[in-house]
Amino acid sequence: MTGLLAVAAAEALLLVLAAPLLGGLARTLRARLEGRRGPGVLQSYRDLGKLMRRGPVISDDASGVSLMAPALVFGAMVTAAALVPIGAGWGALAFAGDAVALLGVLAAGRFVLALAAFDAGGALAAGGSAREVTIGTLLMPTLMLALVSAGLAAGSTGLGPMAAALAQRGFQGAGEAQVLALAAVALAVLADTGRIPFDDPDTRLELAMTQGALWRDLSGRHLGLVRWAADVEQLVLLVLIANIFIPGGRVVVPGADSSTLAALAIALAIVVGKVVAVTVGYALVERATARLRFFRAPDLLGVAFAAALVGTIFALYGGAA
Amino acid sequence: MSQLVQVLATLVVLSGLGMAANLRVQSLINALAAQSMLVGGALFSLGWHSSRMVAGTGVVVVVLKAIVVPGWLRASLRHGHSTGQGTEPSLSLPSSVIVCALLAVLGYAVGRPIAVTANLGTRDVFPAGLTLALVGTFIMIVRGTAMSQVVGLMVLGNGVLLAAVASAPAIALLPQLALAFEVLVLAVVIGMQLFRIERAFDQLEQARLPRGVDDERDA
Repeated sequence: MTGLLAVAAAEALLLVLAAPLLGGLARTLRARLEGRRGPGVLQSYRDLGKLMRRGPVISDDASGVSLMAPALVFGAMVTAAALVPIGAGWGALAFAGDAVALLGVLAAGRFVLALAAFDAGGALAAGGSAREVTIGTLLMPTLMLALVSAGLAAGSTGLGPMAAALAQRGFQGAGEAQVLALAAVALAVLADTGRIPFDDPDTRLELAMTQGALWRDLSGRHLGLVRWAADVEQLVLLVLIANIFIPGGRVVVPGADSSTLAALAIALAIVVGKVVAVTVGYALVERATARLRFFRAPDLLGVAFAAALVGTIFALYGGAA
Repeated sequence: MSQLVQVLATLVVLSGLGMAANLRVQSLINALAAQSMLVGGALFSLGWHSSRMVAGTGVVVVVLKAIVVPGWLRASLRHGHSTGQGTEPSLSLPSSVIVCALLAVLGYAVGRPIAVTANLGTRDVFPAGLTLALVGTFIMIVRGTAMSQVVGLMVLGNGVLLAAVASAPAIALLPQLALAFEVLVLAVVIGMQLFRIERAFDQLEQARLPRGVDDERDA
């Protein structure tokens, strides 16, 4: 059991360290699809290193909230990374929390960041925080419902059991509920990670920014931490999609005969493949669509919510028929 | 294969939900093309092993409803000028999406027991078709722009076709083709009328069209 815990903790650590790589991959892919050469995949690490060496500039009006927020956000995301099952059947902190805890931790990070944006009294950052919270309140119920529908199929709210149940079912159980939940989660994560139909990470147009405005008053290592946290959140959500909503994975269940290092490596490779595939898919979506007006974003999230709702109702009543 | 049909049928329902949340006529037409592609794919894979007729219908649906009709709608969109502009429907978009979600639940709640009792073989295609027919009807009712009502009609046609093939796969190809062509002809006729109405009144929105003599007397 301690061996498993060590493996899970190592995986979580790996996830946190690899997160900027995924962010870099997303940026490079986007640039290539737009016909630009773009920064290299490792540019995020260089940016992060540069920011981490610099001290933050903090407004005189800022209170302790601004000082603590970046560390709190980063801590929340590291906790989230320790909650999701990656290659092993359990996250390192799975004994302490299930799917609800994961969403709670993600929401806590969002809340602290929104609070910090208000703290220094900058109008633009406050506007960004209002937008971020608006989108957050719309997408959290969607994620919750989709996880409930996965949980109904697994008979548990634990993320580990959900992943194990999906790995066991494979493609055989891919019914309406699962397709709807996958579609809903894909849309919600698109919104959560600030991608194009909802937010444009490259824009310099202040009125169009959500995440950019939210981070407006951050600088130096505070900005570095928050950016890193955003990358970790993105990777956590993609691993969640890969392990709990896309069939055809493999999870190493502790205690079973197959729980060897080789099996773990295969499971990890499958997860990485799925995450990269989803990233490429998102890059294509970003290339193909235009950014929505902010007031139209709730409509698209409404579709995601409706899909998750119908999926959950199907999972409740439709499974046996 | 039945797995694929099931996933396709679910995606068809999802596309119906997406259409309910979309105001721009251009994207409605794109969604219609994608949906018809899905419907055609579902019919094709449904009939691949059992019935050439059904598979053939799938091909016809893809050609007609995913390529010909959307292309034609786009062309008439380019010629007209006020049709491309989406307007507020009589029901707000979030409410529309919720209503469509409820329609999907209703469609499956009613359709699946029928499909299971009647032993239709594939238990998912019939409820999906029923749902799509309901959603299409709903779009026709709530949308003010005539062009989106045409799209609603095509969605209704897709749904009816899916439900029909699921409930009676033995129907010969000919009646099904007749059905598909009838819908096509209907769309063309409506389009002609729209063109004339627009040329006469400069718009296609029902609320803004001039009132008839009787209405004015009442008002």
